[in-house]
Amino acid sequence: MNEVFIGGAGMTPFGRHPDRSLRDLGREAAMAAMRDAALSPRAVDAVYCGNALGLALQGDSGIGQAIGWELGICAVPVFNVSNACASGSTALHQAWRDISAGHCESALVIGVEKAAMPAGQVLEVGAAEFETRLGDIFPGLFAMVAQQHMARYGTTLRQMAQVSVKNHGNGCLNPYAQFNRPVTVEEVLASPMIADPLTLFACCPNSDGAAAIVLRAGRRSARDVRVAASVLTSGTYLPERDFTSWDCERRAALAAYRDAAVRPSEIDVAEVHDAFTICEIVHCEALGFCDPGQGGQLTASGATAIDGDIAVNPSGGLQARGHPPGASGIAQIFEIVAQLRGEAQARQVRDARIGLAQIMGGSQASDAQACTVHVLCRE
Amino acid sequence: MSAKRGESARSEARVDSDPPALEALRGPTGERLIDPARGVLLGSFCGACTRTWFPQRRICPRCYSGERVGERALGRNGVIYASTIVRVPSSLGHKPPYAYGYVDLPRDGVRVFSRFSGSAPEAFEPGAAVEFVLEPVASNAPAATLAWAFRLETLA
Repeated sequence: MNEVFIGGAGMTPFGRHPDRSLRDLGREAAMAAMRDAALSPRAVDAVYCGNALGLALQGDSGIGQAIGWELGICAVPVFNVSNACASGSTALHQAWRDISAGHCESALVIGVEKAAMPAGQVLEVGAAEFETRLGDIFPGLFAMVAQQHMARYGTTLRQMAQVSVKNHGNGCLNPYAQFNRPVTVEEVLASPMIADPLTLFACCPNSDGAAAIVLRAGRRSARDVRVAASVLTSGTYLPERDFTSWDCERRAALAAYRDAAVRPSEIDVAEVHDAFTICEIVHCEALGFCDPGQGGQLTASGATAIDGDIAVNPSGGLQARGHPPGASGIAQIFEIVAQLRGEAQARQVRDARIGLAQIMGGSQASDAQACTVHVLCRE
Repeated sequence: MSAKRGESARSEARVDSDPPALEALRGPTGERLIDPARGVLLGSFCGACTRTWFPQRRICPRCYSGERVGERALGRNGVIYASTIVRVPSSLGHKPPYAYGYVDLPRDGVRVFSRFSGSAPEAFEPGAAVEFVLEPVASNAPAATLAWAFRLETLA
């Protein structure tokens, strides 16, 4: 197996880009990543493009080829990858597999999405599902995760709100973040209720944006970051499933730590899927940053702050950086790369050497459809 | 022959005076989720491994049997596993507030997504005993569909 390195990363600011197309956003992020890696479009062996909603919202398919066309990349294999919120990270996983196996030398991996809706309009996905027809909304399942976690472990509304407070604070330090305004625990708790017990500021926004990375076989530069593990799992969909954790995430985390030969305690910085505040708490537990049930206390202790023992979502996470579903998985990698290179400026985690990115996607019978965990190392 | 014609005329007369029957909500591959005539949820029973599933499956995901999987009426009584109250309009225009969640049906070993009705939304706590009822669900598209809800057993 070839060792795989990230040679460059780039992204657009996340937020609202009503006048820009998917290919326009994708081109900007991809150009930035290739410039960062000093890679000519001519030297790209394959393109992997993650996008979740383009067909449903913009009527666009073949987005990878369209972005390649913009960049002058043609004739090479192009993979369009869709795995809900894990679309971008699944594209990365596929590229990692292909380079590991020797199918190609250099890959351009893009995540791109336009999911911001006009004011007052709700994002409409999954309308064919019977649960949606009965009134299911996306935050509903995570509201029930919060309900179960609170009942079983005593996790509090304040602890969950502290996730939002921390991540909005971190977002103020990130020039790519959609939100650059701090919030207080009181503001989070007093914001409009969406699905009990999740309020508006417990939920991430739906956003527009793109992120890209260049992946290569072997080290080419001292700034390169090694991909020490790349794992993709899917759900089990068992009817007796316990809502306080995701089995697919535990399996992904265990496999990633095994492949990277690192322990959870060695992770210096992590980007996790905080679509809802309770999610960051659950992910901290599944990734082994604390014991099951202790995620709320871990957050309240300040251990997940930029200057804490394990910095979680220094970028601001989905909560503050924003969430273009297909792009978030690559934006997480962009952040970890910046952190491991020591280029994260005001939000830099001190002496970050090993980083982790985790994201989940899709919903099937109350379970997640996909989960990826990536471990990145600076050597 | 004449008796049959008479029946047909009666049923036409009833259609004229009554509101048209609502179309029943269907599952991911067009399968029936409810039997309106019997007033029950429909799942699948695998004769090979005796496991029950909801919604219906063509192939048993536990033992992979295809031939011995058939439709089965599920029990009407369940216990709430988890619940929430939606406070904003859904993308399909369901009017808030409304409560929903997951109901475990102990007899069948299945967990069912369901709306809750018949009481204030706050009444549906995990652990509460609930009973199945047929109920229309109203949203923007389509206008109304026959579906189901669970309500507190004490009211049923």
